[in-house]
Parts: sequence; structure tokens; C-alpha cells
Amino acid sequence: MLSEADARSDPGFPDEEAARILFPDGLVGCPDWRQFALQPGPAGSPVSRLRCLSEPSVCFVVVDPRHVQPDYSLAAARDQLLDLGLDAVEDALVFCTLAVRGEPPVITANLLAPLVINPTFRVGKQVVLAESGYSTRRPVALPARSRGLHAVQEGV
Amino acid sequence: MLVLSRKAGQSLVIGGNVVVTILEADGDRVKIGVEAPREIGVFRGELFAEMRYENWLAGAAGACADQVLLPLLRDVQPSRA
Repeated sequence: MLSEADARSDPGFPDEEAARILFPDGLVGCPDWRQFALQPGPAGSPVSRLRCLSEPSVCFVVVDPRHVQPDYSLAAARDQLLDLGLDAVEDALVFCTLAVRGEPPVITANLLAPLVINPTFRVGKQVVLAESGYSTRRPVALPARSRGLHAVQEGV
Repeated sequence: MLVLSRKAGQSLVIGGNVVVTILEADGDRVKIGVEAPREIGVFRGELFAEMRYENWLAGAAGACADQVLLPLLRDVQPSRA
């Protein structure tokens, strides 16, 4: 549960807008990361935050992978989605996690293992698009080159 | 860790619904067949390690997002404000 202190120190992500999401199996390699709170990102930004309530040192910044790759498809994971109880895959909320790596730092998106959420039941699962060719570390911006407006606009 | 020896053609069962069969053993190379429910992802161990690492990296980056990730993102995202 987010404390009032968290909400106060983080005015961009008010506590009352948080939605609790259960990942019954945890994440891949991190089976204890089960409870999350989904919070909107800064105004005007496509990102959201997925704060891990089971492990307070963990919080993801996530984005719909179609912002990174417009033709992104979950087809390779269709079977893995069966236990989410979705009527249609299109009903799912789909997010990829963002990480920062390298010097100068670059933001990368994990397109290989997206987080898929059934917003009706508020349950989620990290699926693995094993034979898809998607990367765990797809660069989404090239800040060193030009402060990257072009690079991201191409990607969005 | 459970350690056991199997010959080609023999199998083992995990959790009552996953069957791992040794199809062929040739020197240091073993061919394995896996039967599992469709909703269970099956993938190579290297991929598992990569995804675990990526989850830790992303989980840490998001935890201090106000300091690094979000400013970096603001620099590269066109503002809609």
C-alpha cells in the first residue's frame, strides 16, 4: 500500500489514481514481485509507473510497446495469455518496461517480455515472446546524438 | 537441486502437468522434448537469466526515475504540453 508520504512526495502520481494489479506468478525470475500499483505518468507523457508493493525498492516505468514499435504484436504469446481470462487479446493493457543503460545513458525497452494486464480482473502476467526476434533492450531514444527528438518521433 | 540420471527415451514429470523427455544424447549435446500446458512459457535458461537481469535493471531504474529516467525521457520525447 502506498503511504500518504509517498503520495505527497510524488505529486505527479497521486495515490488515489493507483490501481492495484496482481501478478499471481510474479515476474520472470522474480516470483515474489506479485503486487503492483499502476499509476499514471507525468502529464503529456505516454509512460506510466508500475510500483511493486511486494518489493518497495522496485518500481517500473512502463509504456505501451506500440509507442516503441508501432507494429508490435503479442501473437507469439497468445497461448501464454490464456490464464488471464481475457475475452480478447485486444482488451489487455500491454506494457514494456524501460531501463537506463550505458554512458551516455540510453533508455531501452524490453519488448521481449511485456507485462500484460487484464484490466477487468486486475491480474497480470509477464509473457515471453521467445521466438519473436524482439529484444530485451531495444533503444527508444538516442539522447547523445541530438537530444533525440527525431529519434523518438520516428519510434512513436 | 534434484539431480537424477535419465537415458534417451526416458522422461520426468514436473508438477503433474509438465513432461520433460530426453530424446537423444550425443556427447555433450542433449535433445530434450517438453510437453507443458499452453499457458506455461517454455524457453532457454539463457533467456530466463537475461529477463531476470532486465527486470532488476528496469525495477531499479524506475525506483529512481525522477533522477534519471524521466528527465532523460523528457529530453527525448516531444512535449505534448
